[in-house]
Amino acid sequence: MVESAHKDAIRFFFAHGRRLAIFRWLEFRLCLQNPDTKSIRYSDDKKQQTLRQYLLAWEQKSLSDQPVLTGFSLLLLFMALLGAGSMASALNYTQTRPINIWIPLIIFAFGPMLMTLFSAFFSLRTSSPHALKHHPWLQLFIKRFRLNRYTAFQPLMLRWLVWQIQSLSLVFLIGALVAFFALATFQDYVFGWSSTLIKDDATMAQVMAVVTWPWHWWVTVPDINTIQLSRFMMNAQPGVFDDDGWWQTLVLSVVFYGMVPRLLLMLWLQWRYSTALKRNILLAGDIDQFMSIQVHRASQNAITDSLPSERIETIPLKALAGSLIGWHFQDSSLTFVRHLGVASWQEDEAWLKSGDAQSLLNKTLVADGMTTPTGELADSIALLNGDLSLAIVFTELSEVRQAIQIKSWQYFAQQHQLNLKVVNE
Amino acid sequence: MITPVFAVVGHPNKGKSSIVATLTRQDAVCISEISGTTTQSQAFELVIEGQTYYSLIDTPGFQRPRQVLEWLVQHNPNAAERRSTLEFFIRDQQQQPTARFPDELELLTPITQGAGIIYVVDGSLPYSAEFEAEMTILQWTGQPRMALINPIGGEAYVSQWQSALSQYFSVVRVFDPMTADLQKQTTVLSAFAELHEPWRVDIDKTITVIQQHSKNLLSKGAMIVVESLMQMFSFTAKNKLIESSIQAVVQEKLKFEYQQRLREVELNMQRQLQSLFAHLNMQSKTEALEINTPDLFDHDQWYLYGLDRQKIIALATSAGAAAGLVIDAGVGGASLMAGALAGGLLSGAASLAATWKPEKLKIKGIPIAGKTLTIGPLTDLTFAFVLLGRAIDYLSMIQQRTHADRRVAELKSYSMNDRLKCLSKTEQIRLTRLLQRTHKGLNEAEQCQLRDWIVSLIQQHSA
Repeated sequence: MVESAHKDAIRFFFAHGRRLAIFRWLEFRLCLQNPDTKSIRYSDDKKQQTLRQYLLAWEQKSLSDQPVLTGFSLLLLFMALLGAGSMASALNYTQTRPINIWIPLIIFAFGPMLMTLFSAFFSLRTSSPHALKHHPWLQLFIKRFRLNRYTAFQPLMLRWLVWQIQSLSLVFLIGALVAFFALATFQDYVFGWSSTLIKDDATMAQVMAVVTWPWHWWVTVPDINTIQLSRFMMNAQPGVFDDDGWWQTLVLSVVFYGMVPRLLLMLWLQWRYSTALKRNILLAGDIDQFMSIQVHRASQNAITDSLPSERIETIPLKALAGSLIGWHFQDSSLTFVRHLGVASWQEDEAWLKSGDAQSLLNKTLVADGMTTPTGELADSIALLNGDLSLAIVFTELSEVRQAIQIKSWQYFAQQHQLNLKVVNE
Repeated sequence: MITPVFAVVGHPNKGKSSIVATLTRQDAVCISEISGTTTQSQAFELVIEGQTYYSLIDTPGFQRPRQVLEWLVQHNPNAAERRSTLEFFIRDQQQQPTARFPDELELLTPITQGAGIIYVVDGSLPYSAEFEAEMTILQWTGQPRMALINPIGGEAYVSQWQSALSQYFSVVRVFDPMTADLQKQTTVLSAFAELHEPWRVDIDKTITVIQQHSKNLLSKGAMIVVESLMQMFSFTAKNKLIESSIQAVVQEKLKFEYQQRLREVELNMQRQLQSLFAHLNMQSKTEALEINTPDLFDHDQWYLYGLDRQKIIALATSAGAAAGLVIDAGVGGASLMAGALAGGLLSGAASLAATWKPEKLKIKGIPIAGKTLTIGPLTDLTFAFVLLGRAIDYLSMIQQRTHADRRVAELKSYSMNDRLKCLSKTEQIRLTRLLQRTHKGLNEAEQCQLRDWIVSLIQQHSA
């Protein structure tokens, strides 16, 4: 049951997708760490609500848009165009001569694969405390998109950034492929190969057999014949080419060596980032802090009057004089006109209204200090018209406890405009 | 899940509001030493992560129990009708323009709506007959009921109360809301379960949830401490020294800035812990943090345009090599790149010499380089343990504090040595090594390790 609330929190922060989740969460944390916004109640409803309802109320009042995502989307568009432009250049740079297959393979397949490996290596370093030092271009990215306020959450931010960066590379390759298909549909491109070091066609065939191994079951791969016929040399006139299979090799190399590793890395980094973010939500105390503030309730209509500051007169027992009326008083050392509070209220009320009570002069209500003044005492006082003072007697009570009891009696005496004395036995 | 509801009732000033505050973890329940502070019934829930587990209704004390009992007796035909008579009493009072018994109306209404009864008495004051009218009225409700003896000023009369209360209540417990730890709180909650069988399963679940939640809070509190320590340890402040004669002044300024920042982070940590443990109204008094450690300062060099010495030498070397390359190109490569090599070496050596004493580099009297005075990060191990100790003391104090305790919280400092003895030698060494590198930042695993040690230091020391 305890865990389900945090799962609700995770669902809330991930409601708009993984990409936005971190910003929603970090904005929430920053809000709670800011002394000015920390204690805001996000719901006026006096009834207790669920965590999700409080979070929704917070979202409506506090969450702002993230400009970094707009900038990032523009960057993606730029990378897609760059990829398309690069492919177009690679296809058209030779004009009428055959395109050396090595060039697009290196630019769009093997090169990206190598970059993916580097990226994977550096991604592992994001868990290091000095992570930002290993990514100078990330520092630039953070500065450019004003992510500095999330510096305190650097490890989490870096995981998100490293994940997002992969999409730039992927979009570059997608742009390249789209450009290839767009151009190849309306133009005839001839692919060949050329090499100074590989003299033997059989060697090239072996190399291609290795390169095309992942898809050789279902797509035509360049065989020895195609390799022989598609070789071209510098300063030699182009002959009759049979480049059957080269374009498929190019496309599938881009997919298998360029896109698939990058996609796998991206998925792995996405999982790493999501796991880290969920763990942060579960382990950080921010949800609990937030709920404490939201469910915090104060007493309504409670008395908050301060105590009077006058000193209370202390008198000896012998000084008690006049008509003494006892209240919940068990001690028989004093002679009382009447003991109130020990019999039934009806009997007390009858006496209080009687002529005996009304004719008393110099009345002193003597109460056991260990009791608490109540409404019944107030009713009795109201019925005892005339000059009345209040005296409290303590027996068998520590000084500390006496001091606490006196406060209640002092407040009561103030409310009923009575002269209070403490009897010192 | 059924949400059990209990009305906390009793004579005025017996600690009802304190009990409600402690058991619902609400520190805004109004508590005062003046009797009659609570004037209306109000429900407070124990809410953990958005889920309500039970509700305690804080009520005003009985003010006219004898009168109310006499009213009930006068209007009651027989013992079987007591509950109906009580309900009639409430309807009668509600219909009057000014209720004659407003306090009894407030406290009895939730009971007749199904709340269980928790009757609170003060164990430091003797039992007397004035309480019998209250207990008799509660008997008339027919609701499940238990009694809590709150030893406000001591336990002098607890046994006397136990003897008297057991005649009216099936369950009697002693409970001090000011000092009750988690175990005592859950013991009282177990007693709630005994009151009414349909509530047993839910209350048992609640006890499990509370125990787990308490562990989670301590763990999360420790993580807040870890994050704050990382901020404090890694913080640096810098200031350029234009003239060496003002170094002492700059040093004082930096020290002040550093101290202020550490205090801010510490205060923020304390605020977060207060929120985490729901002590939102707590006032605390802690000794201000003082920085008195040696070797906090470091000297570095600054140059115009924010460069440092390494970058200047690197730039000069590159520029010299580029110039040499031009010469190499001019001779058609016959120099075999000697021009670039020589140019780079010469420029590098020249910039090395020039930047040897940066404070002497001036243009028309304006310094273009000099020293930078840096304070932090924190590498002094003794002070690191001081900060850790302060944080742990605070976390330990706030974790044990009940929500009825409204005194200004004063930090009890325990020697870190005493705390560290709870860890094995190996763990002490590992903790020390971890603290030594905290100023460089900790990865997630290291943060969790430090958090776990903090939890151990608190739990084992308390045990």
